[in-house]
Amino acid sequence: MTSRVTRWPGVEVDAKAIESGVVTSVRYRPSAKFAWSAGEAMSRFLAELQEGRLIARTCSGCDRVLFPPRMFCEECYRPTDAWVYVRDSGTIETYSISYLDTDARRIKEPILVGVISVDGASPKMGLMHYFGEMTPEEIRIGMKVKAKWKPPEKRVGSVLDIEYFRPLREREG
Amino acid sequence: MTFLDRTRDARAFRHWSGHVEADYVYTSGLAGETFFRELRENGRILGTRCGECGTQWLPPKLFCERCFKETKDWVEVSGPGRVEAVTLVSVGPDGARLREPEAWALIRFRGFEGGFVHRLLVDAKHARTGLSVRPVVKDRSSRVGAITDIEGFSPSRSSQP
Repeated sequence: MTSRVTRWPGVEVDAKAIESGVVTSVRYRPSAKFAWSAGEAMSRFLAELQEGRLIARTCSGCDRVLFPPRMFCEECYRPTDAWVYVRDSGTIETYSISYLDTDARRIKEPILVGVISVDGASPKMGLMHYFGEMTPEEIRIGMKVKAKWKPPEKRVGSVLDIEYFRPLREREG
Repeated sequence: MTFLDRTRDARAFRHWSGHVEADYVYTSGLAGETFFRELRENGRILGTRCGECGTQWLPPKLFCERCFKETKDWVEVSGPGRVEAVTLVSVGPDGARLREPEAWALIRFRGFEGGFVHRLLVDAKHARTGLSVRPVVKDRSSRVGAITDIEGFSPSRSSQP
């Protein structure tokens, strides 16, 4: 249908016509500043990351340990109850061997990313992160992993304060 | 713990600051083009008139929303306008407090549908509805074809005390 239309109604205005003032126009640049808040639970979570700890919230309604923490339990429809630390180790739930980097550019050496369910939190609760100190051949679902933290002076209160998750070593908690 | 116990000062939380890039150019469109050119070149305010029902539109419309007919006739708005509503503004567009409050008004003209929201060139304490006002147009040299070519509206002689 549109292929048969050779001319659209209206008046075409190009950038030159606007810049030269052939047509009248109004130029405006709003000062649209914003501050995006992480909220109550995430703010504490990020502050604890800077200290090298992972924190969760408990709900006494369903007896779950919610991680990452949230102030409201979506199962019980009630506010959660208390802060509790969870461990910085866990299990690989799922993973990807990615030949695309974070800008979707092709890369030769793949990055390993995936979801870790964290020890101490309720089942299947965890976070997504990078994996390291393992090859694409070695990584598997069910693998026990532990956080490799950045040195304290390099932490800024971000999920990247953990560099990556590495295989849990023998006799390591 | 209830939600009311919690921090309500968002600045206490971790946050990310940013700036939304929104640079835009808004062209006047067909009716607006005629309107702003006439304002810039001759300092006159034009509306359109529907040939079907006679309704006059200001700012001008290209079609009559009552008849769905194209409005082809242009008419000059010559008479004084009437202040329909007034707002005293004490904060500028940048959020900074103004030294003196400004009076802004909705101004309508007899015989025309629509009107303008524009600055009232009177002391804020004298701004009131019902004032009869006339546009004060800038000098030709400083007119650019924008609504700001009208400096504002000041009371017409008949309504001055």
